[in-house]
Amino acid sequence: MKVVVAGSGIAGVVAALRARVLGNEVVLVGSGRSASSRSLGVVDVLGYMKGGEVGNPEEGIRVLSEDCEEHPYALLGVEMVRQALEFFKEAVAAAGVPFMGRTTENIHIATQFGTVKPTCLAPEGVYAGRVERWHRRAVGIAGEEERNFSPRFVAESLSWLLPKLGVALPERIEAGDEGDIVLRPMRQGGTEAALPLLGDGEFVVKRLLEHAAALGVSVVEDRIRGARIEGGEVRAFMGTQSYTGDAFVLATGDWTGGGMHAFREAVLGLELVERSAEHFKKLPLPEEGHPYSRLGVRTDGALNPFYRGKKISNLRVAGALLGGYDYCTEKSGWGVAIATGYVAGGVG
Amino acid sequence: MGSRCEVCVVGGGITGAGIARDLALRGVEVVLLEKGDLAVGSTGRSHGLVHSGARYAVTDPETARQCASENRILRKIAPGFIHATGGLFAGFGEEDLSYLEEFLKACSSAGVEAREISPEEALQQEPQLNPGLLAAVEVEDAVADPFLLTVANAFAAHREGAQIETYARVVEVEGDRVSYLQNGKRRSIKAEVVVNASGVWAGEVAKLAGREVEVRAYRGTILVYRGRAVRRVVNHLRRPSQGDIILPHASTTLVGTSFAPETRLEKFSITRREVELLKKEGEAKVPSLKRRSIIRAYAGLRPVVGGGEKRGFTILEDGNFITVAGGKFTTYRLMAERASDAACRLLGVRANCVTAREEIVEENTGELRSVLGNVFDRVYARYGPLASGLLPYASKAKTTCLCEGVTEGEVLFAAMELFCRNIRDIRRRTRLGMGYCQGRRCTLEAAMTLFLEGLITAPEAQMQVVNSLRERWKGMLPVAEANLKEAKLMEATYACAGNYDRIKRHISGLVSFL
Repeated sequence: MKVVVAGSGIAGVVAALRARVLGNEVVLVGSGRSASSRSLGVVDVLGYMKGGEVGNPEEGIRVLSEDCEEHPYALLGVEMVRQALEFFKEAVAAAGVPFMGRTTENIHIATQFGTVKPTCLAPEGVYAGRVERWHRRAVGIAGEEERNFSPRFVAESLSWLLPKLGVALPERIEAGDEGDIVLRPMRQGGTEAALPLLGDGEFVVKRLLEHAAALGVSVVEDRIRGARIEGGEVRAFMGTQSYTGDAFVLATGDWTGGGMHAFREAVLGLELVERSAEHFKKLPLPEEGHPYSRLGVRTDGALNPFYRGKKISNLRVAGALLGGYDYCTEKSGWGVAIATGYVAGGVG
Repeated sequence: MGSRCEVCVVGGGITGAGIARDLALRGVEVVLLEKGDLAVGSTGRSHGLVHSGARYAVTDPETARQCASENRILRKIAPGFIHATGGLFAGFGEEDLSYLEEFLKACSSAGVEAREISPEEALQQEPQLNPGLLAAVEVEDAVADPFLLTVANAFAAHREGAQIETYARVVEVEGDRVSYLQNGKRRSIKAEVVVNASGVWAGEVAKLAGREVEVRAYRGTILVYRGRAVRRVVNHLRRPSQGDIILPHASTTLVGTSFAPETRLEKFSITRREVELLKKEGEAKVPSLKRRSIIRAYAGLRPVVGGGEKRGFTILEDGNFITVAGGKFTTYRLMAERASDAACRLLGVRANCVTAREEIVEENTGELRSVLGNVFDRVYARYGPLASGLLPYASKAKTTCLCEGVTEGEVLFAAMELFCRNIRDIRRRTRLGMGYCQGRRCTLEAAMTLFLEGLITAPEAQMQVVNSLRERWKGMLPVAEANLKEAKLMEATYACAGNYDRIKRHISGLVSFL
């Protein structure tokens, strides 16, 4: 079959890889900056739920699926999510950026903000630098000061914050390259133990795109602005040219990448999940998230969306364009993107 | 000065700062107490328009006259702080046209310079105007940054010996003793005269002194658009109405204002209707605004005294307690002069007011110009003559705020020299985080700069980050629906990557002072 994927963020790339590995002819059309390219490049599977922090993402997904029917994880089921993440690990290993971690165990990583966040899978160096390993060790934060990164700031902020979090209590954390564990930004050559910086995601996505191209995926730089629909099916995605195919994946992201515009899905005007009355909370960064963040395309369990009341059976939606979840507060960004990308690319 | 002074000025907006300067120049010992940062009341929430007076010529000729006269004075004493953009009154329909004659006559009799030009000429000078323009009148409107002008007055006052105290909230005025809270401690100062220059809070402060002053507040909302759509101030040629004014301000365009009675002095909100009205009015005059993003919206309160909605001011004296009530940003210097005259009478001080002829801050930027090279123009446009104070910090040239081009040196200059106590104060002086990304890309960087210079600790820097984001969100919220991408990027950066939504519970409650 010929599969056309719109969107070259992590969801689109995974969908394209999956479709290709299944023997399809695949075209991946994307352009501009994605949320993935601005991200830390780690796989957040599920960091937080209503009850609080999640220790075992698979267990968290099971509980979530019962509470939250429209969450993409609930639509797919934990088994499928696990498969998807295994697929991802194989793909990044083949692409030269091996990731470590288990879907049954969250880790914590230090950030350039001098904070700590939970995540699940991470590039080798980042995984090796996880906060769990800091207990009773001397930790060094090394590297050159650059925009939005200062080893001194990270070290001092974490010295103050870690005791409050109870994740691990290092003997000391200092700026400099001395210690039992010395973290250095990946992009500054940090390999043994690394600190991810905003934008490292671009590197991961790029490697995966190269890997996809090497496998025969046709990667095209273009922006999909519309689609041709006939008889309840998509016939083509329209950019500067027409991309015809048998099966289509829409992974154009949310407002960040342009997949959502105002309160509309930008390419087709697909139906969205139910809108709430109030879109925003009064204060920023609320723990429960802003209602608008859950806005996105409504799909059935097979990720088929709805257009003018009718299901489009040869189109699937993946990634942040989906509604029913909030990756910013759940810490579920790349997890949902990879899982839904994997399923969306599962045709042929 | 310690615990006594001759005059205690309550209120650090443009008027209070102007009074502090006026009195200090007359050799009077002044202490200024401001409950927040300088100019965070009505002053900072105005659009900074220095009126030509034309707007009021028909309906309020006395205010028009004052504005015209003060406009000329401000251009003389505050070159570099006042951007002489000029202004235009533009008429678009029959109704506007019918106002023209009355308008021109009223300007003439109020001493307001007004010159009619052809629509063609107007469109040539201001190409973004709606081409359906039928009439145009040139006036001498100008634009100032209200924060900078207030800081400049405070700076000048301080240089002449005045004591400027921010985050100092007055809690009681008993006879000649003024008590205030600062840093969680209760302090007091003896003052022979107290000048109440607290704007919309004048009634509340008067009450603390056992006096009664009635001030009404009217809310005015402003939309901030990305980019400069106009070169000058554009006014609607008609009887003063809502949404009349469009003006350029730094890297943005302001559209204002609304006029609604307001009973709450804090935590008042902007209505969706106001935003819609301003959008409509702005886009009608400058159609290209439709294509620009609205970065944020904010509202301020006008203090109004007397009957109706006139914008005049009054000096009220009650024993040693003087209140300057009402007024406008444009006429602050005159208000300060009158208030200072009253204070000096009470003190028996014979010195005359010199503020109409003395430059607020002397021009001395030659050396800075040679150090900064072509960056100098941007810096001077921002800080005016205050820029010379940047010299010791000029070597720190790393850019902190990408949208507005603010350097590390400017952040430190503001922190050390311009009465700042935290990042928000610094932001108001430097415009850090006031561009289209609303601090998303520089909030952390700015906090880190202060930390690395040893001015604050790491947890204090975290508090700065959280508080800065809170303030930015307040401005983004009224227009967030039109700007979902920026809202999302903010969440993605600070919640998803930074985990601040969960970490912030450990951060709040810290007190941060430089």
